[in-house]
Amino acid sequence: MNLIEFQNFCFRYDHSEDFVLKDININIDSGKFILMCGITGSGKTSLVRAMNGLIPQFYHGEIKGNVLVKGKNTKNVPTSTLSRDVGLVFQNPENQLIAMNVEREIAFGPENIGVPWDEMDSRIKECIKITDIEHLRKKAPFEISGGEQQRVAIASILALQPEIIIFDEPTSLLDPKSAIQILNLLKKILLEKKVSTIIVIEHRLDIVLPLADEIILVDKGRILEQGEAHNVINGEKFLNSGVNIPKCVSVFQQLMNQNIFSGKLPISIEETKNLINSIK
Amino acid sequence: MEAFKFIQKKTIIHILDPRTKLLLAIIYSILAIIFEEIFILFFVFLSLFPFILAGQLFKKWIKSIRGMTFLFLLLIIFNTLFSTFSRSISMIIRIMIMVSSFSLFFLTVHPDDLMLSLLSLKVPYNIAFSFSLSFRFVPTIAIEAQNIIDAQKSRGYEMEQGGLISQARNLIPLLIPLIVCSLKRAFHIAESLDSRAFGSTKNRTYYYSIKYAKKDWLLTIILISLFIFGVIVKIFPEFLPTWFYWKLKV
Repeated sequence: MNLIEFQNFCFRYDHSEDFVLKDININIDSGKFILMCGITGSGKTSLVRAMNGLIPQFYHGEIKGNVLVKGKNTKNVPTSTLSRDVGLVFQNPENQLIAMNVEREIAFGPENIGVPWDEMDSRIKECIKITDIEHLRKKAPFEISGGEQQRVAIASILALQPEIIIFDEPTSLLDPKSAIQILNLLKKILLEKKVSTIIVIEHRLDIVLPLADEIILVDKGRILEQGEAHNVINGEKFLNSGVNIPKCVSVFQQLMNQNIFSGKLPISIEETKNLINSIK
Repeated sequence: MEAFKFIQKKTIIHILDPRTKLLLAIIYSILAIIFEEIFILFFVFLSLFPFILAGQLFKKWIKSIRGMTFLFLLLIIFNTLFSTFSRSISMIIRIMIMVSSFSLFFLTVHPDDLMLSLLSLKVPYNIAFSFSLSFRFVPTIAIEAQNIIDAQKSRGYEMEQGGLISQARNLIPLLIPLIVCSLKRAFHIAESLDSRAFGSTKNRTYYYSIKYAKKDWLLTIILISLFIFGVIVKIFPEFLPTWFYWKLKV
């Protein structure tokens, strides 16, 4: 079943002249780790805002077509209700953490939807365990590091138990080590079936590509390509899209251009290693 | 601002229900307003000390009082010029009582508990929540202000230069970016609240709750008795020995 379905969706913000999203027709299925990439200003953030109803409920403008989240039209259902199905983790955790300690922060979502105390307590414990933040439980959000803040933000969305979680550049403010830890945490959340689908907007393709099942490539407000990760990577559109192509892909692509190599481009260090061994 | 910044501790004062501490602040402020006599105000002020000491807040309290020296000087100058010196002393004690009792409240009440106590006083959730949210973002905005100061200074901006008027004018390069950043932040916060089911149901549940314990009732009874005693003294001044009404001759 399609969790999210875009039907000829177009959107123009009130304050802008051009449409930022044009003829979007994509389906998001369950059980996938989806990477959304594209250059800055391509419309990725607007696209995810349309997935949880922030467009058109919070950001007003001209709309054509529909977005259905588990069959519910985002035009008619408020974002606060849709948040039970679609969780959204933003770029800057500092703006998402609104309580004075981590435990209260995680409780905020379940409190809002009226979860009874016992269930709320077990959800909090579970979210703290999976995001590994037991030591931060009583700390204030401004006392902890950026990576820790992002973990808290993730735990606070997990506590709502949505089927889909969307991450809008979750590692952009983090150092490479914390970024890898956060992205691995996302994969773990998916593997442990805490959510059905994860959508990540990310520029550091070298660390996120190995985790991705599917890629959505966005350019100038349109979907340039959607499909299985290997298929998209091997397509012309991806290589010419201007995104930050990982070293392992670009090296083999150059070898391909010089007719030294033919075959599927590798998307991870592991695949690159296997490919080199097979060439030897 | 330091006088009102909550610090997590586990003293008897911190454990008290926020409503009891709010009652304390209100009753002490009323007493400070209704009396003008130096001795009475002084005794009211003295009676706040056990609370300050029990809450381990003495250093913070001294800091906040020291921060008001300029205000006290102004009070002395203006009251002596237009009224009497004696009146200026009572005004100073009066303000010290009000500031001390309210800083006792803000220093020992967790901002999230503040929201719960407002809710128990039937304040609508949205208003109570905005109140606690404003406390949460004080340190964030303070850091942002410092970043803006640093950024402007690194471009040759000098804040402390010139007289009072030009110093006030110097604040503009700080205030405009700070206001713009705060508005943008407010927008992001609203977006994130919406994405976390804020306001999705009227039957909101709460993970934490506040309870009026025995010690709260005890202190409430003491505070109300003190208040009643204060009102009686105000209505029947002869109730207290005459030396309580002593005034400075100037």
